Amino acid sequence: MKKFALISLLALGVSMNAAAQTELTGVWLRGSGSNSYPQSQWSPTALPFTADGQAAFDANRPGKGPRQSMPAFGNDPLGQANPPGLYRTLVYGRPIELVQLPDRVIQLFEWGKHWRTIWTDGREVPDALVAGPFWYGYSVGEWQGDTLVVKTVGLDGRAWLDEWGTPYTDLTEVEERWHRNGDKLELTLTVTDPELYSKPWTSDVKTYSLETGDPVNGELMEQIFAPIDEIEFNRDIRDRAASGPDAVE
Amino acid sequence: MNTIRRLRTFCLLLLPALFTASASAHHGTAVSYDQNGWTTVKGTVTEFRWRNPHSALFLDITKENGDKVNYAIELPSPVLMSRSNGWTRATFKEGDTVEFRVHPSRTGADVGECLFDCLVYVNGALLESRLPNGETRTESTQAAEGAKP
Repeated sequence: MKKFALISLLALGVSMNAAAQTELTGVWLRGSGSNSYPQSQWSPTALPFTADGQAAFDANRPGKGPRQSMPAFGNDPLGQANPPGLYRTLVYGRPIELVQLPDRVIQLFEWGKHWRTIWTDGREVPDALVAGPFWYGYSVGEWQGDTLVVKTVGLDGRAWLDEWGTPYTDLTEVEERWHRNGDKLELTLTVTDPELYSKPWTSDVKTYSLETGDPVNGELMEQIFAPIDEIEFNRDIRDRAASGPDAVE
Repeated sequence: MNTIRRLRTFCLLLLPALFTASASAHHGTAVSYDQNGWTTVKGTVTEFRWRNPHSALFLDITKENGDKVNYAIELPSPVLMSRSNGWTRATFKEGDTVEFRVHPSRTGADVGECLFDCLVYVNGALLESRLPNGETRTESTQAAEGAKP
């Protein structure tokens, strides 16, 4: 009984310590600043592609970044109103609201109006997901000091890792390290996928700023991509813009 | 990794290559337009589409060669337009006379785009919008900036 009480007190102390150091609740917005990177918005250096990885990268034809081409001739999965997926959302500059609860951290994404859960209740990362893969993965986190270290698995490899067509698969595993520094929230990824990458690679630090509580910047709004709108937009704007008399694919 | 998992991964890698040209993205549409050039179109609003993924304004215009066409202007999503410019779904109405500075289509199509730094007159009055420095473009800032589009 004494042992149980001691363990409980220690656990409570760790929990209170972590909570005191790392309150994540709030609306956060990532600034811009990766336009000069060679391949991926996540990495200032070239990625360690395997042959399959290079093929996957080459097959993706984005509308942004160093390999950009007219979206009418590309193959971005968003073009049919598919979900952006977790990491493309995290690197895009749209507000994210974090809600920190005792057993989880919930991230609410304005872009596409999606959400994800990071479980912090001590559970293990599952070996297999019966219902997966998921566009937003399955995530388990633990506090290491004042850093929330998250393991994400079960990703749906049909999405892209960023706007520039960086590939991943449903076997990709990602470690996220979230660290709050005042009114800034910092994120670093380490991506592991032996099929696509010859070794794990780590992103640069992405920084999110805490938004104020005013109704313009401190509140999420709805930005859903509905197929009914997407079809209309593609027909009347996107494809039309690419089909003038000087069109060259 | 077993054979089935490898096969699944291989199929996933091939999937993007199976998409056709019509199955692509709205995001990144900026590359479809001449981002280094501006042109001004003037016409009458036939429709203002306040929708995701990007809004659109349609104008009946008369081109320099006399051709009358319905010109489309790609605009940001409603959320971004309301946040950055303070625009609403009532900002443009059918029948309004509009002068709009846009980046023209690179293919010569009757489509332009303005996602940032939009300079717009509606029925002769300057429409407030966000300047590149984050400030609001008003009649006074525009007077300092220069002439109409």
